Amino acid sequence: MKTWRPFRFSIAAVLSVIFGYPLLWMVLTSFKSRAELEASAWSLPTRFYLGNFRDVLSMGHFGRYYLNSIVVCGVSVAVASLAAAAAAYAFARLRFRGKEALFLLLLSGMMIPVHVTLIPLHRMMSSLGLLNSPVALIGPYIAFALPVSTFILRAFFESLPRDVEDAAQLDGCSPIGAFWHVALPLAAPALATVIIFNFVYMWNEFAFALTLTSGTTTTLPVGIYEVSRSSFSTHVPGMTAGLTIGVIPGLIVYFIAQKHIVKGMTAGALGG
Amino acid sequence: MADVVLDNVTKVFPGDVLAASDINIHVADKELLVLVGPSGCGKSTTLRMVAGLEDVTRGTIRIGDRVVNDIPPKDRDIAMVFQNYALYPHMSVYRNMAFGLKLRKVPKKEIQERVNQAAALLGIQNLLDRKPKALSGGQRQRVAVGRAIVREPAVFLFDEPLSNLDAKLRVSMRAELNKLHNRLAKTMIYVTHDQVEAMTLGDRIAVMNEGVIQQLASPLELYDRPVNEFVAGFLGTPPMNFMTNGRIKQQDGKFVFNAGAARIGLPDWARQAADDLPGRDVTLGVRPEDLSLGSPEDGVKATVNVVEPLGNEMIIYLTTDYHDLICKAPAHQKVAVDDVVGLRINVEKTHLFDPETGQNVSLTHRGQPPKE
Ligand SMILES: Nc1ncnc2c1ncn2[C@@H]1O[C@H](COP(=O)(O)OP(=O)(O)OP(=O)(O)O)[C@@H](O)[C@H]1O
Ligand SMILES: [Mg+2]
Repeated sequence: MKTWRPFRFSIAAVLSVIFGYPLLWMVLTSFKSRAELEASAWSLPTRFYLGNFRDVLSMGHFGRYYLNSIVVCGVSVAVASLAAAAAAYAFARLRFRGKEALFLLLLSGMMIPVHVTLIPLHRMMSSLGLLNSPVALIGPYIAFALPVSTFILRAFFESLPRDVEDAAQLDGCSPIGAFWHVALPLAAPALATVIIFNFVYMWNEFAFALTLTSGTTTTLPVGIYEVSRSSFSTHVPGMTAGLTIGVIPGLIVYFIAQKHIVKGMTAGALGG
Repeated sequence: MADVVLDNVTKVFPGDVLAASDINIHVADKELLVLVGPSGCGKSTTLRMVAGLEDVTRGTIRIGDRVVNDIPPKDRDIAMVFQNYALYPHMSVYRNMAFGLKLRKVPKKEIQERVNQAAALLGIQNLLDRKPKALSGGQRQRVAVGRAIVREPAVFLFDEPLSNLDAKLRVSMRAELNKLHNRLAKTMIYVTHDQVEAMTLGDRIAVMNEGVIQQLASPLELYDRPVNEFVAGFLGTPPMNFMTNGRIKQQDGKFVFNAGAARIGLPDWARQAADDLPGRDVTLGVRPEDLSLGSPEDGVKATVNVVEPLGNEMIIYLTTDYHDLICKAPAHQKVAVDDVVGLRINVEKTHLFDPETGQNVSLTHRGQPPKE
């Protein structure tokens, strides 16, 4: 195994360059003026130039799209994760008739190709008068996030030692209290996975945003698409500044959540 | 004042698994009752029914003057210590112990007092800020006990709380639990599969097998007057010797147990016992300490197979022409492997079992033990 280590490190190094360099270039370019970029596209910025950010934020509705994205993704991720956790806990711990059949039904939601629902959803939202509102996106985002999230969380809850929740019940919790005070905090690693997974998907989601919202109600991916079609697209540092702002929330969520994945919260629950 | 009464309690798990069958136990107020039995016999299930963590299929459970069958665990006024401790991994030791009090809306100041008091009692004051994963097994054990006692419940339940500790720690924790019981003076039910733990801790012991209570009595009563082969074989190390496939015969007006070449004269109670089992095989039970070695001319002839000197005594494994036997001999007994010896048996202390039912048939005929 030892002889493989240099080999594995070189692969990791190559991969990190392939994935990391474009990101780095984007961030660096966003701090260069247009003239500087044309003079030397690959060099480091010579000074800390913030004009591009001012340009992109004052351009059209960019700030508005940004806010929309944060609201839509924030609400969707929060509701989907909590609802999935509650459902997963019930599937993991309760005994009731038809449990597995119900679970399969839920999982079958994973097999629906999401884009075939675009037109029906558009018609439904339209007749409900919800087109061009955050709800038009939040609803479908939550619905499509539930099956996978419930699946991941159920498996995790089933791996948790039941005794800890039993102890909580003797300590004075109702079953729901045991979920809230004990099982949910212990599920942090799985919750973090689910949150990252869903957030990344929703933050980048394009098709639903394009179909169900427009104008000032749409989200960042569509917004960036619109910007890229406008005359602003020739302003390359301005574009990279917009993209840089765009990836920041994803990175923040990732860095906060991934700590919990690594931590392995159940250590210490059991003896032996 | 809280006694615990199990009245014909039965538990059937889905798939027709009968885990506990017609359990009748009355745990008196302030008593420590031990529930002992081999793995899978239904001890935990019984305890969990008392805790309210399992539904009762049939029968009633009463704690104090309330029937608790339909009362959720949190309202039963009990605390439980689990085999694997089941501490809350995401909470510090302090919060682990304070959690139950906080849920019960005890004022903050009182919580602090009670946690500190319990921590002092258990010698874990310096661990209060740690998370469970930073504790050793013995420390986790103390925290688990601490979490139970701060609540000051009416009844304590223990499910094999010492089984994850090493042998030495187990002995010292056992003594501490004993002290704790005397000090707290609360009703306790203690589950274990360790017979030494059972004998040393229990005011009374319920021996359980395959979901059925075999016998419920004081430790010495169980040891001296086991009702059946299971109880006789379960308590005591090394276990009781069972000399199987013997017959009771009359010889010169006396009753003799005869198996192979062995002829063992039995006391008077054998007369009635023999009447109960006319012409049938019987099993004679002899505890290892009731066997002693003598010269091969008298007693049951046997060959020594293994000698285990333990320092304070010696365990000797022997074979007769018919049985394998274990003898507990004094530490300095002169004996070597392959020696042929004569076994003397303290017949007053033997038991006669019906091999079909396993019942101790000598019990009813040998009079009551002297009252304490
Ligand atoms: N949830 C369950 N569903 C089905 N059967 C169960 C369940 N829990 C326990 N059993 C069965 O009930 C029987 C008694 O189990 P229990 O846990 O009470 O044994 P125990 O005496 O505590 O054993 P141990 O000493 O190994 O802890 C076993 O045969 C077990 O397989
Ligand atoms: Mg058990």
